Amino acid sequence: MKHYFKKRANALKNPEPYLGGSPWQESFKRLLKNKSAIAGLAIFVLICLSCVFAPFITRWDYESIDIHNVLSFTAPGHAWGTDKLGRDVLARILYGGRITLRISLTAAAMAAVVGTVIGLLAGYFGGWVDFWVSRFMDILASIPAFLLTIVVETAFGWATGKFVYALAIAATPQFARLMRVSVMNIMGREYIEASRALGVSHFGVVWRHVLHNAAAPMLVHLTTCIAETILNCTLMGYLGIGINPPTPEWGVLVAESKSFIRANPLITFLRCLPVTLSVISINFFGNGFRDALDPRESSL
Amino acid sequence: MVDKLYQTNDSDILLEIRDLDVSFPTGRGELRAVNGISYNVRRGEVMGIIGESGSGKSVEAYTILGFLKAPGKINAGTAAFEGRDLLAMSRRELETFRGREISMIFQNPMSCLDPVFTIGRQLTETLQTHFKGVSASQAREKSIEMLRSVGIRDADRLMKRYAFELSGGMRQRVMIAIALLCSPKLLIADEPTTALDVTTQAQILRLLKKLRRQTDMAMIYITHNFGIVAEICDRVSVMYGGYILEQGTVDDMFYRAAHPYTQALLKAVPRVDSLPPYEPLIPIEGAPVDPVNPPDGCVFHPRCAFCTEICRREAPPRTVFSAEHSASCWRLDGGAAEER
Amino acid sequence: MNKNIYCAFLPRSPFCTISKLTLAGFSDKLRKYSATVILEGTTLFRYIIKRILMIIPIILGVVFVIFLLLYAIPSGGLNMFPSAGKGDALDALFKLLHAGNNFFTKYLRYCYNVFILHDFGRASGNSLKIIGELVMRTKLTLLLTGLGLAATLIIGVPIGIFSAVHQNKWQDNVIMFLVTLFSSIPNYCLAIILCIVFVLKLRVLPLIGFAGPIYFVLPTMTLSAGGIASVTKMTRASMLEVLDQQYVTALRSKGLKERAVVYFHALKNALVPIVSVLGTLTTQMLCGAVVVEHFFSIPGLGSYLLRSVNSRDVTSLLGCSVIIAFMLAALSVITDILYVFVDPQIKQQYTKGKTSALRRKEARQ
Repeated sequence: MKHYFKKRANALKNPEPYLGGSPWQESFKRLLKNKSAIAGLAIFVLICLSCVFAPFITRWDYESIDIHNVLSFTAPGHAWGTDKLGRDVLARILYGGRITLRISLTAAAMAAVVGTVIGLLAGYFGGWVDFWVSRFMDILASIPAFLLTIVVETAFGWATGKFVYALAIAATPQFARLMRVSVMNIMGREYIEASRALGVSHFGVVWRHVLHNAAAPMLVHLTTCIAETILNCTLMGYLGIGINPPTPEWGVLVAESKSFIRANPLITFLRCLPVTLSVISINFFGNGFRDALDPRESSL
Repeated sequence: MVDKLYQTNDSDILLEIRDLDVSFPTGRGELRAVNGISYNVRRGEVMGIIGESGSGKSVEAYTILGFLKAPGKINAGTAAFEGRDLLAMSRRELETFRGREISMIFQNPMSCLDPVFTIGRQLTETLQTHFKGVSASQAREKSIEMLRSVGIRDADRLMKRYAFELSGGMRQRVMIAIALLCSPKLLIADEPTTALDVTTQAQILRLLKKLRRQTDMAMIYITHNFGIVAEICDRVSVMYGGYILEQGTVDDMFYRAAHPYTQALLKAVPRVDSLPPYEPLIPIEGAPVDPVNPPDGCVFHPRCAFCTEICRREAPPRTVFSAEHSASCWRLDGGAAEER
Repeated sequence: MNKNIYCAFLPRSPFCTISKLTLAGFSDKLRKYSATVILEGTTLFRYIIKRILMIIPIILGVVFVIFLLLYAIPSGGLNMFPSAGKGDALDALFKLLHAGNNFFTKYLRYCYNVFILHDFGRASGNSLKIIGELVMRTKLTLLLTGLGLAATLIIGVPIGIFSAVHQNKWQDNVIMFLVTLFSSIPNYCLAIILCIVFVLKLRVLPLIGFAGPIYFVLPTMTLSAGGIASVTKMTRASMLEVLDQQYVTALRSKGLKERAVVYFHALKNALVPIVSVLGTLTTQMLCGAVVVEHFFSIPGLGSYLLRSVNSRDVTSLLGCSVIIAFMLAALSVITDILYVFVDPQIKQQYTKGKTSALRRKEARQ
């Protein structure tokens, strides 16, 4: 994090071409120039939209069975074929995307909000609050997200609703730590002292200075976090923890297709596509987004 | 006229730079860092290059050794070192020159030593790179000797230590020791004392002077400090916005400064020896030149007190006063004066 | 007091060492003994001991959190009553009920059992102690993770350097595209794809089985792909950062060969951040090991973890968690020790006495 600000400072010393407008507008313009980032965003939005508008894309329901076409790749009317129970694969993938994306995005949003608040409190007030909160977060963060999800899930019982919490809890500590570090970094700057001296309230300082300045790294982390949560979510589906067949979650679909990998590897491969594609597109967008916010950072 | 000056076929000339032109493509357009400068350095002499930040003085020095950073490109020019063009050399050829024939010391000694290797290692590896047959113990002995000669008393122990354990002055001494290890013919010093505090500055300067006397090594000393120029240099080039505006011996500069910029610079330097009534220090109005959109005509005209119509239109020619002293300004050009 | 007395206490297994050292933290007398040991050692040894002692609170904390979460489990609580080591489970259950059956007594009991008695409890449904199976499976997972880590570093670091040296050229762009690709593909999808390519199409590798090194090829490939991507990314970033430093220019100005500058000086400097990602990397590997073991039917810790989750066997789940936490904590110690060798500045921190004397001497000069 320190790193980030150092680079920011360097960026100020050797300014990139000034494109006009506030730093945010400038970043936005830079983002628009980045083709792979825009392509990533477009693909991800497209995936989301096609999941939302699934009924308009396929006339099949994800549960209805076409008994005449079982495990067929060329069945008429089924664009992507049918699975071994005669269910339309495309429909299952699209409706499954609704489940996967809803769970992952909700969990990421929850983690972002809760983590930000925790990190903000710890960083802003410091002292014993900070000590205990950050110790707890350190311990949570030292448990692998995967293990934490499993344990939380086992503890809360297996249900889709609670599954979201498991994913969210696993993703929270990263946000809290990141936020805490950026807040502490910002709090050390003179302008915070200056605005406190000018009589700005706690809330005002937090809103006006701390949140606005910490927003950039948090947003970058949010994109990473969405990708990770999708991976984590589908992984759970794949392993059959938390989400089980016949729910058409993307991971579950992949797990199902394992049984006919010999018979028709193409179907298996196709089922790996949606999750891979969405994570790749988010990552490309995230990379471009980070570069746009911080032009000095090498284009990773 | 320009050509005449530089065709004086001096066998003494060690490095001759001609029409060097360096630019960086940026998002806003071409950043013209160095605009066709020419100068030469004779054996054993100290050439000072003085200019404010952004005048292209460091870029020019880095270019000579092939350290131009990625987007930068050399558009034209030659840098002949003993008759061989450094700019046309392959990287491998250049590597044999660096450290052996031409060494360099840098502005910030804090970041110039590799932090994860011992000082001794960094000295001996230089020797062993350039002299193949040198044994480890010989290299060590020579390194210790070198460290002693740059004024480090505890050289034995210093060899085993790391850069972060040393003070800024010590690090600069070590850097100088590394640079002089293979007794190069030319040392490029890029503001070597700027980052140090004043007493250390004086020590380092004294050291450089002493070493120069001992080794008969030529130096290009880049600085923005007229005091240092007076202290150490034989000849000076004044750079502004990528051009050399005036060139001459130190005496030329201090007593017969011809260019308005040089004169203005000298007026902005406090003098210890001045007697009352004190002359006021006069700052140069305006901002340094924007290298992406340089002004038409003379590069200095927006800030020049003597600016005329022709200055805005055309770049001034070089006016030569003596074998050493020349300046580029319309005010000094006889023809232009008549025209006016 | 001499060292031998303390050595008599020193047990053989790492768990026991830690529990003994924990005791040393609590009891004044033992602390004195350990202090004699520590003072007799070199400074580096002292530092290592310090770091090992720091594992204890981390592991206790992790176990606490997991215990806390599992305590809330609606139905499976019975399994969690740790056995006292003698008598049957029901006996222990009643005993514990009598002794005050609250969260903290259970937690302490469990920690005592695990760290002092090395008893991870019994699996639900049978009376076997799980420790034997845990050890066996941990060995296998360690082997797999070790292979994965080795492959990751051996392949990832050179690619990262190559990419950094060719920054913004087509080679770099291709590598960075592949890196994003491989860091985005889920493990299980990669396993499937590799399986389709190497087992079904090319028929060069066996899929499932356990009879020789060749069976480890596919699992290692699957496991290390994501790691290679992140190590490449990290190496590249860190090399670029280093190559941008002024001392690199200074090294070149000495006339060092470009190869020596990049592969010797810059690489050693770039190693510091690379070492720091080892922790995350191993976490990634352990997580990947679960998938890989599941996919390739390897009887390791990961598949055991999955089995225990699926059968709601809290004892086994807790056992696995403790071992994973221990592995990660141990790794953080190893990382910190590696730092000492990579970064002299950290080394200096732990040999302070000597250098401050030197510094004083320098000041006098």
